[in-house]
Amino acid sequence: MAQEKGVGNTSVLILKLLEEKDMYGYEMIETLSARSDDTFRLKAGTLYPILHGLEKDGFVTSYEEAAEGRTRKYYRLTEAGRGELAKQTERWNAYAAAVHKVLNGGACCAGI
Amino acid sequence: MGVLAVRGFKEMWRRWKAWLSADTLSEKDLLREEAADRFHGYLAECRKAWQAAGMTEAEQKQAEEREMALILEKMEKEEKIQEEIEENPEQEVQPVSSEMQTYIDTVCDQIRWKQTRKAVAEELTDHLLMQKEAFLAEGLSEKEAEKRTVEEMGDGIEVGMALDRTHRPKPQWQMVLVAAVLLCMGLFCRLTIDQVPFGVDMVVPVLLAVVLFGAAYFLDFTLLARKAKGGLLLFLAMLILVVPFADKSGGESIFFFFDYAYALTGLALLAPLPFLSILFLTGRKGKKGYWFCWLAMAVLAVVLFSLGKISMVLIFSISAYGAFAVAVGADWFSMGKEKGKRLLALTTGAGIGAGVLAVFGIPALRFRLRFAVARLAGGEFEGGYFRYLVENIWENCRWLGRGTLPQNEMARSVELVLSQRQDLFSNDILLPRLGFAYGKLAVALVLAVFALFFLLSFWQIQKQRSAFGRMTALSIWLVLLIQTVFFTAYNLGFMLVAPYALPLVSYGNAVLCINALLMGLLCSVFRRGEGVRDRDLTAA
Repeated sequence: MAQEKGVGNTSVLILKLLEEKDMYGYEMIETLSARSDDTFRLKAGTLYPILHGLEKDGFVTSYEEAAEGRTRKYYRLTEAGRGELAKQTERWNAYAAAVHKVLNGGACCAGI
Repeated sequence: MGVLAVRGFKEMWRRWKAWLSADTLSEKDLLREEAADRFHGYLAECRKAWQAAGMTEAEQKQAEEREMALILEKMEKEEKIQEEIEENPEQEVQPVSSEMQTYIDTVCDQIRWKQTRKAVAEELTDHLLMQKEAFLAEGLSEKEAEKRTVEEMGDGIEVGMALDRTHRPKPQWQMVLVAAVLLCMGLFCRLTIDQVPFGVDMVVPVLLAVVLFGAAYFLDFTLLARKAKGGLLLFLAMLILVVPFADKSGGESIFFFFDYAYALTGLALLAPLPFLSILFLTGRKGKKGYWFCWLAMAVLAVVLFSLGKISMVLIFSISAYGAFAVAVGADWFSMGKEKGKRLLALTTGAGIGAGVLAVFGIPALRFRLRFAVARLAGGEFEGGYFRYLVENIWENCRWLGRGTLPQNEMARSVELVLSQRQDLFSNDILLPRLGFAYGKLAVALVLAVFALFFLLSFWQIQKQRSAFGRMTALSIWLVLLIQTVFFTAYNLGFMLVAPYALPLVSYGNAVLCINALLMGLLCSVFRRGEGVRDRDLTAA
């Protein structure tokens, strides 16, 4: 899918995770990997720059909580993030549908 | 005698220092209270469960005692751990191995904005430790787990560089542009309405203002916190060096430096900055801190009052109070949010009451009030002459284009005021003069740019994450806003409060520079606010 304006593909997955509940970085990696049967095994080094970028763009906000004597940083989806997620999901669905059509013999034959 | 005074001063200094570094108990107490509440709730649940299970009274009592003993033991243990952490803040609860630390350091070293490093390091530390625990749980050895953990992270330098790209101070082009437009409008008025010849005397203050704006823009505003004591000393030194040697003129203190005259009332515009430093130093000090801030506000207000205009005292008090209210709202003094808010409401009421009493009770203040009311509402020959004059100018303005001189006995006075360029009063009524020269639309345009400036900046203030950033931005914003409101009101004929300046637009060289500095500082908060955590400031 052509990268237009907005966030990248990994970012969409992260936004999707945060749609359900607030999460911290490690939790996101684990959840994503479990949900995708280990297809998406994100490296922490990839995740955090993306997360911080999303925060800078206003798609997520963060807050800190004490846990096990340490500070844990949680991320939360903002309204802007919700909007972006909806937009990207729609775009992805259109793209997937198009791929599906092509793989099934092109638009002329689809639906017959 | 002198020795005694020195000794007394030393003692005061020692106590002050001890007080500043003293730990406040209130936070701990709060935690205890909270824990007690939680355990009461828990015990109540237990009792219900025991009853449901059909236990006898005696059995229930026994079970309760057992449960309480367990709880107490747990509480003591938690407190002990907490104390240990407080005693050795360097020592982490879980040790980070040198390999992990090297990785974190490598990442952080790539981030050029140093202040954001600590937050990144904490987040990575938490992640690394969790990952390591997971590997240990899988049955890996300590060493193997650490090695795998660091491998899982990805290349440290690359990660650090990616983080560096996101952690940059945010450029404030919009704000800079609006400020530049204001400055240009001021220059335009200076050249065409004041008809000041273009030359060195005119250009130098403007250039100085631009330099000061730029310097403050790039300055880190957290210096107000990190160098709080130094800043306070500097301000005190300035007061001590300047105030006793100032001359009084027309109710204002003027300081002469060689041939140049500086109105000391300008200090009032800067006074919120040392107050912010005081706020920072009194953070987490409980009620003591709270009351000390009120005291500092009162002392500064009295000092400013002794220098001249009441409007200056108002500007300082309101902006300092704004910062103070934000502080209380963020539980800055660790008194408990609700408790703090109640106390603030009470003391604010008392403060306003005291202010009103002072205005009516102190003869000098009463006199000034009578003077201001006469200026606002008096007839032409009963103190309301200036207002009458200003009204005459407005009435003869067009929407666009030069106005016509009034056809009454004021014609001569209006003409005089419009042509007097260096006169203090002419400076104070820049807006009607601008309206007369170019039409009311020109005035509307200037006010619209100001509205844009204040809206844009207010929107940014709300987004500030740290309480200190919010306090700083709000108090500077208020200083600029109240100046603008006072000036505009006076210029429209509502002359209860004396005007001081229309930031960046009306002159006074000194005030131009001070306002440029404040605007730059406001932008500095917006640039860097994102990377500031109150916790890190306190640690520094």
